Amino acid sequence: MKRPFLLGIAALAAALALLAGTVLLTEQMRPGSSTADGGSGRADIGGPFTLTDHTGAPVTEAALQGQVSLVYFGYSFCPDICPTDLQVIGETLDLVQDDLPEAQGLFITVDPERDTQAQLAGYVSLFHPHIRGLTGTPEQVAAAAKVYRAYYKKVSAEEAGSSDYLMDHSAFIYLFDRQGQFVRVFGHGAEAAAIAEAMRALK
Amino acid sequence: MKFFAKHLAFASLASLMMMGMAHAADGVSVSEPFARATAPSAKAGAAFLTLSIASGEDKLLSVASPVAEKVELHNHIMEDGIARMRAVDAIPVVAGTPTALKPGGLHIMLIGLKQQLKEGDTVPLTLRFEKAGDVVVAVPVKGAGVRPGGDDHSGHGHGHSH
Ligand SMILES: [Cu+2]
Repeated sequence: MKRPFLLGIAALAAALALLAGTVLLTEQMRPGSSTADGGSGRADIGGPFTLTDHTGAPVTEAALQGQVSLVYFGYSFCPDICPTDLQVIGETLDLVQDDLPEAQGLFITVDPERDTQAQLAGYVSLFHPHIRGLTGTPEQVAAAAKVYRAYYKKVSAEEAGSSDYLMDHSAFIYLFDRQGQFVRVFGHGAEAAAIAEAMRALK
Repeated sequence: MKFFAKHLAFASLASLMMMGMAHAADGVSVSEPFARATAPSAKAGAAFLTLSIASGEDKLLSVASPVAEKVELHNHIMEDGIARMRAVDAIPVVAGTPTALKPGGLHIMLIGLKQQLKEGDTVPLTLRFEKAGDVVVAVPVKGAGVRPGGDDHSGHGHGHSH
Protein backbone atom coordinates (compact mmCIF):
# COMPACT_ATOMS: atom_id res chain seq x y z
CA MET A 1 0.00 0.00 0.00
CA LYS A 2 2.57 2.48 1.09
CA ARG A 3 5.25 1.35 -1.29
CA PRO A 4 4.20 3.13 -4.51
CA PHE A 5 3.82 6.30 -2.52
CA LEU A 6 7.32 5.99 -1.08
CA LEU A 7 8.71 5.17 -4.48
CA GLY A 8 7.02 8.24 -5.82
CA ILE A 9 8.63 10.34 -3.10
CA ALA A 10 12.02 8.83 -3.85
CA ALA A 11 11.63 9.52 -7.55
CA LEU A 12 10.59 13.07 -6.79
CA ALA A 13 13.54 13.57 -4.47
CA ALA A 14 15.88 12.23 -7.15
CA ALA A 15 14.36 14.52 -9.74
CA LEU A 16 14.73 17.49 -7.44
CA ALA A 17 18.33 16.63 -6.66
CA LEU A 18 18.99 16.42 -10.36
CA LEU A 19 17.33 19.76 -10.89
CA ALA A 20 19.32 21.34 -8.07
CA GLY A 21 22.44 19.86 -9.61
CA THR A 22 21.56 21.33 -12.97
CA VAL A 23 21.07 24.71 -11.41
CA LEU A 24 24.45 24.42 -9.75
CA LEU A 25 26.00 23.38 -13.00
CA THR A 26 24.58 26.30 -14.86
CA GLU A 27 25.83 28.50 -12.06
CA GLN A 28 29.36 27.46 -12.96
CA MET A 29 28.75 27.51 -16.65
CA ARG A 30 30.26 30.49 -18.35
CA PRO A 31 29.86 31.06 -22.04
CA GLY A 32 33.54 30.81 -22.82
CA SER A 33 32.61 29.06 -26.02
CA SER A 34 30.34 31.68 -27.44
CA THR A 35 30.44 30.12 -30.87
CA ALA A 36 27.14 31.30 -32.18
CA ASP A 37 24.46 28.66 -32.66
CA GLY A 38 26.87 25.91 -31.66
CA GLY A 39 24.05 24.16 -29.85
CA SER A 40 26.41 22.17 -27.67
CA GLY A 41 28.26 25.18 -26.30
CA ARG A 42 25.27 26.77 -24.66
CA ALA A 43 23.32 25.67 -21.66
CA ASP A 44 19.84 24.68 -22.59
CA ILE A 45 18.07 27.36 -20.61
CA GLY A 46 15.06 29.27 -21.78
CA GLY A 47 12.40 28.36 -24.26
CA PRO A 48 8.72 28.75 -24.94
CA PHE A 49 6.42 30.04 -22.21
CA THR A 50 3.05 31.74 -22.01
CA LEU A 51 2.38 34.10 -19.14
CA THR A 52 0.59 37.38 -18.42
CA ASP A 53 2.34 40.52 -17.27
CA HIS A 54 1.29 42.90 -14.49
CA THR A 55 -0.66 45.05 -16.94
CA GLY A 56 -2.61 42.06 -18.22
CA ALA A 57 -0.69 41.76 -21.49
CA PRO A 58 0.19 38.26 -22.69
CA VAL A 59 3.90 37.53 -22.70
CA THR A 60 5.81 34.77 -24.44
CA GLU A 61 9.49 34.07 -25.05
CA ALA A 62 9.21 36.58 -27.91
CA ALA A 63 9.51 39.28 -25.22
CA LEU A 64 13.20 38.40 -25.02
CA GLN A 65 13.79 39.34 -28.66
CA GLY A 66 15.39 42.69 -29.41
CA GLN A 67 16.78 43.68 -26.04
CA VAL A 68 19.05 42.39 -23.33
CA SER A 69 17.02 40.87 -20.50
CA LEU A 70 17.42 39.75 -16.93
CA VAL A 71 15.00 37.05 -15.83
CA TYR A 72 14.29 36.16 -12.22
CA PHE A 73 11.95 33.68 -10.54
CA GLY A 74 10.59 34.56 -7.10
CA TYR A 75 7.47 35.58 -5.20
CA SER A 76 6.31 38.85 -3.77
CA PHE A 77 5.39 37.39 -0.37
CA CYS A 78 9.13 36.92 0.18
CA PRO A 79 10.26 40.12 1.92
CA ASP A 80 13.88 39.24 2.05
CA ILE A 81 15.64 37.47 -0.82
CA CYS A 82 13.49 38.61 -3.73
CA PRO A 83 13.45 42.34 -2.94
CA THR A 84 17.24 42.25 -2.63
CA ASP A 85 17.59 40.63 -6.04
CA LEU A 86 15.01 42.92 -7.64
CA GLN A 87 16.83 45.88 -6.16
CA VAL A 88 20.03 44.62 -7.76
CA ILE A 89 18.21 44.19 -11.08
CA GLY A 90 16.82 47.73 -10.77
CA GLU A 91 20.25 49.13 -9.97
CA THR A 92 21.70 47.22 -12.91
CA LEU A 93 19.10 48.61 -15.29
CA ASP A 94 19.98 52.09 -14.01
CA LEU A 95 23.66 51.43 -14.64
CA VAL A 96 23.14 50.33 -18.25
CA GLN A 97 20.52 52.97 -18.96
CA ASP A 98 22.74 54.93 -21.36
CA ASP A 99 24.15 51.94 -23.21
CA LEU A 100 21.09 49.71 -23.22
CA PRO A 101 18.04 51.92 -22.75
CA GLU A 102 15.71 49.09 -23.78
CA ALA A 103 17.10 46.54 -21.33
CA GLN A 104 14.44 44.91 -19.20
CA GLY A 105 13.88 42.72 -16.18
CA LEU A 106 11.30 39.94 -16.08
CA PHE A 107 10.13 38.86 -12.63
CA ILE A 108 8.33 35.53 -12.97
CA THR A 109 6.35 34.54 -9.92
CA VAL A 110 6.51 31.00 -8.58
CA ASP A 111 3.47 31.77 -6.42
CA PRO A 112 0.63 32.51 -8.85
CA GLU A 113 -1.88 31.81 -6.10
CA ARG A 114 -0.91 34.98 -4.24
CA ASP A 115 0.78 36.88 -7.04
CA THR A 116 -2.14 38.13 -9.06
CA GLN A 117 -1.69 40.68 -11.79
CA ALA A 118 -2.72 43.49 -9.41
CA GLN A 119 -0.39 42.34 -6.66
CA LEU A 120 2.53 42.17 -9.11
CA ALA A 121 1.75 45.61 -10.51
CA GLY A 122 2.19 47.22 -7.10
CA TYR A 123 5.24 45.11 -6.42
CA VAL A 124 7.45 45.46 -9.48
CA SER A 125 6.90 49.22 -9.64
CA LEU A 126 8.70 49.48 -6.30
CA PHE A 127 11.90 48.53 -8.06
CA HIS A 128 12.12 49.77 -11.63
CA PRO A 129 9.76 50.78 -14.46
CA HIS A 130 11.53 48.37 -16.82
CA ILE A 131 10.77 45.35 -14.68
CA ARG A 132 7.71 43.40 -15.77
CA GLY A 133 5.97 41.07 -13.35
CA LEU A 134 4.77 37.84 -14.95
CA THR A 135 2.17 35.44 -13.62
CA GLY A 136 -0.15 32.80 -15.02
CA THR A 137 -1.98 29.63 -14.15
CA PRO A 138 -0.08 27.20 -11.95
CA GLU A 139 0.49 25.09 -15.08
CA GLN A 140 1.86 28.02 -17.08
CA VAL A 141 4.21 28.95 -14.27
CA ALA A 142 5.37 25.35 -13.90
CA ALA A 143 6.05 25.16 -17.64
CA ALA A 144 8.05 28.40 -17.59
CA ALA A 145 10.07 27.31 -14.57
CA LYS A 146 10.82 24.03 -16.32
CA VAL A 147 12.34 25.61 -19.41
CA TYR A 148 14.43 27.92 -17.22
CA ARG A 149 15.34 25.05 -14.90
CA ALA A 150 14.15 27.18 -12.02
CA TYR A 151 13.31 25.24 -8.90
CA TYR A 152 10.41 26.01 -6.60
CA LYS A 153 8.34 24.15 -4.09
CA LYS A 154 5.42 25.13 -1.94
CA VAL A 155 6.10 24.61 1.75
CA SER A 156 2.99 24.29 3.89
CA ALA A 157 2.48 26.67 6.79
CA GLU A 158 2.86 23.71 9.11
CA GLU A 159 6.16 22.59 7.64
CA ALA A 160 7.55 26.13 7.54
CA GLY A 161 6.40 26.77 11.09
CA SER A 162 4.67 29.88 9.80
CA SER A 163 1.07 31.06 9.74
CA ASP A 164 1.01 30.99 5.95
CA TYR A 165 2.62 28.83 3.30
CA LEU A 166 6.02 29.79 1.94
CA MET A 167 7.88 28.97 -1.25
CA ASP A 168 11.34 27.49 -1.58
CA HIS A 169 12.83 28.77 -4.80
CA SER A 170 16.07 29.06 -6.72
CA ALA A 171 17.32 32.64 -6.63
CA PHE A 172 19.13 33.24 -9.91
CA ILE A 173 19.35 36.17 -12.25
CA TYR A 174 19.46 34.84 -15.81
CA LEU A 175 21.03 37.00 -18.49
CA PHE A 176 19.70 36.78 -22.05
CA ASP A 177 21.07 38.52 -25.11
CA ARG A 178 19.13 40.45 -27.76
CA GLN A 179 18.43 37.27 -29.69
CA GLY A 180 16.77 35.75 -26.66
CA GLN A 181 19.69 33.38 -26.12
CA PHE A 182 20.76 32.45 -22.62
CA VAL A 183 24.16 33.90 -21.73
CA ARG A 184 24.78 33.10 -18.07
CA VAL A 185 23.34 33.19 -14.61
CA PHE A 186 24.21 35.30 -11.57
CA GLY A 187 23.62 34.00 -8.07
CA HIS A 188 22.05 35.79 -5.13
CA GLY A 189 24.47 38.42 -3.87
CA ALA A 190 25.80 39.34 -7.31
CA GLU A 191 26.78 42.98 -7.66
CA ALA A 192 24.89 45.27 -10.00
CA ALA A 193 28.18 46.52 -11.46
CA ALA A 194 29.23 42.99 -12.49
CA ILE A 195 25.88 42.25 -14.10
CA ALA A 196 25.92 45.61 -15.87
CA GLU A 197 29.36 44.84 -17.28
CA ALA A 198 28.17 41.50 -18.65
CA MET A 199 25.14 43.24 -20.16
CA ARG A 200 27.22 45.94 -21.84
CA ALA A 201 29.35 43.24 -23.42
CA LEU A 202 26.20 42.20 -25.31
CA LYS A 203 25.69 45.66 -26.67
CA MET B 1 -5.93 71.94 25.36
CA LYS B 2 -6.86 69.03 23.23
CA PHE B 3 -3.95 69.73 20.97
CA PHE B 4 -1.61 69.86 23.92
CA ALA B 5 -2.80 66.54 25.29
CA LYS B 6 -2.32 64.89 21.95
CA HIS B 7 1.08 66.40 21.63
CA LEU B 8 2.07 65.23 25.07
CA ALA B 9 0.89 61.70 24.36
CA PHE B 10 2.90 61.62 21.20
CA ALA B 11 5.97 62.94 22.94
CA SER B 12 5.82 60.31 25.65
CA LEU B 13 5.29 57.58 23.08
CA ALA B 14 8.26 58.87 21.14
CA SER B 15 10.47 58.95 24.21
CA LEU B 16 9.38 55.43 25.08
CA MET B 17 10.44 54.34 21.64
CA MET B 18 13.73 56.18 21.94
CA MET B 19 14.39 54.43 25.21
CA GLY B 20 13.72 51.15 23.52
CA MET B 21 16.10 51.94 20.76
CA ALA B 22 18.87 52.83 23.14
CA HIS B 23 18.68 50.29 25.93
CA ALA B 24 16.34 48.10 27.85
CA ALA B 25 16.84 47.95 31.60
CA ASP B 26 18.73 44.68 31.39
CA GLY B 27 21.16 45.73 28.77
CA VAL B 28 19.70 44.40 25.56
CA SER B 29 20.07 47.06 22.95
CA VAL B 30 18.53 47.35 19.55
CA SER B 31 20.23 49.28 16.79
CA GLU B 32 19.82 50.09 13.11
CA PRO B 33 16.20 49.01 12.79
CA PHE B 34 14.57 49.28 9.38
CA ALA B 35 11.64 47.82 7.52
CA ARG B 36 11.29 47.46 3.77
CA ALA B 37 8.59 49.31 1.88
CA THR B 38 5.89 47.08 0.43
CA ALA B 39 3.42 47.10 -2.43
CA PRO B 40 -0.01 48.58 -1.66
CA SER B 41 -1.68 45.17 -1.50
CA ALA B 42 1.24 43.30 0.07
CA LYS B 43 0.34 40.62 2.58
CA ALA B 44 3.80 40.44 4.08
CA GLY B 45 6.71 42.65 4.98
CA ALA B 46 9.95 42.41 6.90
CA ALA B 47 11.88 44.32 9.51
CA PHE B 48 15.56 44.03 10.33
CA LEU B 49 17.69 45.19 13.25
CA THR B 50 20.75 44.36 15.29
CA LEU B 51 20.54 43.02 18.83
CA SER B 52 23.30 43.22 21.38
CA ILE B 53 23.69 42.78 25.07
CA ALA B 54 26.29 44.24 27.43
CA SER B 55 26.75 41.11 29.48
CA GLY B 56 25.32 37.63 29.76
CA GLU B 57 22.70 36.51 27.31
CA ASP B 58 19.06 36.86 26.48
CA LYS B 59 16.64 35.62 23.89
CA LEU B 60 14.22 37.34 21.57
CA LEU B 61 11.07 35.28 22.00
CA SER B 62 8.45 37.09 19.96
CA VAL B 63 7.53 40.36 18.34
CA ALA B 64 4.22 42.17 18.04
CA SER B 65 3.14 45.11 15.94
CA PRO B 66 -0.13 46.92 15.33
CA VAL B 67 0.59 46.93 11.58
CA ALA B 68 0.36 43.15 11.15
CA GLU B 69 -1.93 40.31 12.14
CA LYS B 70 1.02 38.13 12.94
CA VAL B 71 4.69 38.78 13.50
CA GLU B 72 7.07 35.86 13.21
CA LEU B 73 10.77 35.28 13.58
CA HIS B 74 12.15 33.84 10.37
CA ASN B 75 15.41 32.72 8.90
CA HIS B 76 16.41 32.34 5.30
CA ILE B 77 18.71 29.53 4.36
CA MET B 78 20.47 29.61 1.00
CA GLU B 79 21.45 26.16 -0.13
CA ASP B 80 22.82 25.47 -3.62
CA GLY B 81 21.23 28.68 -4.80
CA ILE B 82 17.85 27.77 -3.37
CA ALA B 83 16.28 30.11 -0.83
CA ARG B 84 14.30 28.44 1.94
CA MET B 85 12.47 30.62 4.44
CA ARG B 86 11.54 29.02 7.77
CA ALA B 87 10.21 30.22 11.09
CA VAL B 88 12.49 30.01 14.12
CA ASP B 89 11.38 29.74 17.74
CA ALA B 90 13.65 32.35 19.24
CA ILE B 91 16.74 34.39 18.46
CA PRO B 92 19.55 34.25 21.04
CA VAL B 93 21.56 37.32 21.98
CA VAL B 94 24.97 36.76 23.54
CA ALA B 95 27.36 39.38 24.93
CA GLY B 96 30.26 40.17 22.65
CA THR B 97 28.58 39.12 19.42
CA PRO B 98 25.80 41.32 18.09
CA THR B 99 23.06 39.36 16.39
CA ALA B 100 22.24 40.98 13.07
CA LEU B 101 18.84 40.41 11.56
CA LYS B 102 19.50 41.34 7.96
CA PRO B 103 18.28 40.58 4.45
CA GLY B 104 19.22 37.07 3.39
CA GLY B 105 19.08 35.66 6.92
CA LEU B 106 17.22 36.28 10.13
CA HIS B 107 14.31 38.65 9.85
CA ILE B 108 11.16 39.78 11.57
CA MET B 109 8.37 38.74 9.23
CA LEU B 110 5.18 40.79 9.28
CA ILE B 111 2.31 38.65 8.05
CA GLY B 112 -1.17 39.90 7.29
CA LEU B 113 -0.16 43.53 6.88
CA LYS B 114 -2.95 45.89 7.87
CA GLN B 115 -1.39 48.76 5.97
CA GLN B 116 1.09 49.36 3.21
CA LEU B 117 4.56 50.05 4.53
CA LYS B 118 5.57 53.28 2.84
CA GLU B 119 9.07 54.63 2.65
CA GLY B 120 9.40 57.39 5.25
CA ASP B 121 6.83 55.89 7.63
CA THR B 122 7.71 54.58 11.06
CA VAL B 123 6.22 51.38 12.42
CA PRO B 124 6.30 50.33 16.07
CA LEU B 125 7.49 46.87 17.04
CA THR B 126 7.36 45.40 20.53
CA LEU B 127 10.18 42.95 21.02
CA ARG B 128 9.68 40.47 23.83
CA PHE B 129 12.85 39.15 25.42
CA GLU B 130 13.10 36.31 27.87
CA LYS B 131 14.90 38.40 30.47
CA ALA B 132 14.65 42.02 29.39
CA GLY B 133 10.91 41.85 28.82
CA ASP B 134 9.29 44.14 26.31
CA VAL B 135 11.29 46.63 24.28
CA VAL B 136 9.43 49.01 21.99
CA VAL B 137 11.28 50.03 18.86
CA ALA B 138 10.31 52.66 16.29
CA VAL B 139 11.27 51.20 12.95
CA PRO B 140 11.75 53.51 9.95
CA VAL B 141 10.49 52.19 6.63
CA LYS B 142 13.10 52.41 3.89
CA GLY B 143 13.22 51.36 0.25
CA ALA B 144 11.69 48.05 -0.83
CA GLY B 145 15.06 46.45 -1.56
CA VAL B 146 17.23 48.41 0.84
CA ARG B 147 20.17 46.66 2.46
CA PRO B 148 21.76 47.49 5.82
CA GLY B 149 23.76 50.68 5.70
CA GLY B 150 22.51 50.93 2.16
CA ASP B 151 20.99 54.36 2.55
CA ASP B 152 23.06 55.62 -0.33
CA HIS B 153 21.66 52.94 -2.57
CA SER B 154 18.04 53.28 -1.63
CA GLY B 155 17.72 56.01 -4.23
CA HIS B 156 18.58 53.60 -7.03
CA GLY B 157 15.65 52.00 -8.68
CA HIS B 158 13.42 54.56 -7.03
CA GLY B 159 12.09 57.90 -8.08
CA HIS B 160 11.20 56.09 -11.25
CA SER B 161 7.50 56.22 -10.74
CA HIS B 162 6.92 56.83 -14.43
CU1 LIG C 1 10.14 35.40 6.22
